[in-house]
Amino acid sequence: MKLQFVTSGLRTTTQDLGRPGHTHMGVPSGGALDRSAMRYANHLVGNALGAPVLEVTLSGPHLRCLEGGRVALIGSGFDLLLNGEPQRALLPISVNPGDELVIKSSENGCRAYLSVSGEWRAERWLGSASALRIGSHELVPGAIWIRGDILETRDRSVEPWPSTLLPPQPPSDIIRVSPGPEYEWLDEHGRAQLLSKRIRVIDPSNRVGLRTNTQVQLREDKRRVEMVSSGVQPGTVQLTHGGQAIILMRDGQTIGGYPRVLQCASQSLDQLAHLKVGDELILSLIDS
Amino acid sequence: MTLSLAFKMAIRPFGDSALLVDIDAGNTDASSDIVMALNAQLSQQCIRGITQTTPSYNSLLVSFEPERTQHPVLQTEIHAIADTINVQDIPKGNQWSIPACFDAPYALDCAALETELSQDWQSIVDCFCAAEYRVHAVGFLPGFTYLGNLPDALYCNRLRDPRATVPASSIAIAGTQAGIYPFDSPGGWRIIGRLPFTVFQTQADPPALFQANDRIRFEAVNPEVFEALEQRPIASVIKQATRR
Repeated sequence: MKLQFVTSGLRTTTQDLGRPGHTHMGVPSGGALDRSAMRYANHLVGNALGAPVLEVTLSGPHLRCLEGGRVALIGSGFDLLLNGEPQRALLPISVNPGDELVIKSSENGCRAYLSVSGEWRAERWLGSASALRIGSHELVPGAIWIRGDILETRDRSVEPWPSTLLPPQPPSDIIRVSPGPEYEWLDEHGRAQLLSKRIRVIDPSNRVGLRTNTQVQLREDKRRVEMVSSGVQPGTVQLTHGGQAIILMRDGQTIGGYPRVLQCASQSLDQLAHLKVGDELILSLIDS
Repeated sequence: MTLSLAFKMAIRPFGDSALLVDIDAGNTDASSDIVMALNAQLSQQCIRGITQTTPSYNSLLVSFEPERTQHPVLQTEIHAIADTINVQDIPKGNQWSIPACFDAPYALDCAALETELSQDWQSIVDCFCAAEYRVHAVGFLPGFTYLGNLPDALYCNRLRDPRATVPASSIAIAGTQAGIYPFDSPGGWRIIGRLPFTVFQTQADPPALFQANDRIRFEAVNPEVFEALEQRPIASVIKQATRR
């Protein structure tokens, strides 16, 4: 299949399962923020579930088909238009040369995933095709899509196989968390300020981390403690000195010096992909 | 002579797919030795389910696939390995001697530090270059190098307002630590000089030049030499040896 970018959208990148195993060099594992959406999109077009997909952020690209194949879009708040006609959700779409594809965001969309049938000819770094931006520096330049680029895959005529894979759940704003290593640094008051209440995502928030409008105080005796830097992961909720909770995302730092008060459940990480500035969420402690 | 090591270890769950191992061996260097020895043994023994490990100072984050192993199983395995590690398991690391320029325009905080530390710039640079630094961790950003053993005389505060851009390859100090910035990035540490090469290159193998447990000495060069070194391949600029 061959698709040309007529427009790129706000930020459209290649993402796959990321590059675990390099955090000792400071390289985050990264990869598609919503793994279940990525897998299901790949499943629909007959690709390996961890094959690269396009990750769309806030506004989607306009693509022109040069060689036919199948695509599938998974992403709440986005519509896939084929020659101007909205397509049914959760189905693969056959596309022919000359067709125009537009990924259109409705009011709520933050991220969507487009799978493209066939084997990707993607630049890989440390075993992954995923884009990674550090500051203004793109570490995998071939994973960034701009106007005029051509995405080409080598056809393999694999039909989607019958599978027990279920479509991803619609995103929820309830994020399940467990206590982090410094959870005890919060007293009852601090826990009440952070847990089981609506908090808002504020700017800047991106694939590195989600900032929130929280002002949470640590226990009195912990407020001036300088921590020795220690490992963090995607989904770690750090509290800055100013009391702001930052939820680390998949391109986040690998070690940090702020108290790690909570850790999001793995299954909640996918939901974080769909939270944009202004959205609200609830951190909910898992009963143990 | 005993080869076993004395230390306290605490392992606790950190979410549903990681364990945090905290080590206390009395001081940072000794704890760091244990962390590195444990990390080396964990990777050598290919424990089922472990996806990656992140060593930093006195802790080791062990990430795993919950489908392939579980907290209690992994805790038992880590305890068993910790019981057997000895001084020979501490990775030797590399010994580096690297040129750096501490003159303007690379020493962005020169004037402020002269005032803050009540020393002239030459003695600050001499003091910095007299010490040997230990790489305690590589992380935060890809290739960001955390250095320990900064002389007490160079203790200084972070900037109240971090710079929007610290140039790549800058050498920085803050509190009891020194560090090397791999990329142009925001930063609040005090900038005292620059290396004539980059410490993280995606196309190099491995991409990060320095690894935890390496030792680094800096050798001050003047701006003319620095500019000449910038043009040369990195291998001809730095001296590297395996420790001991």
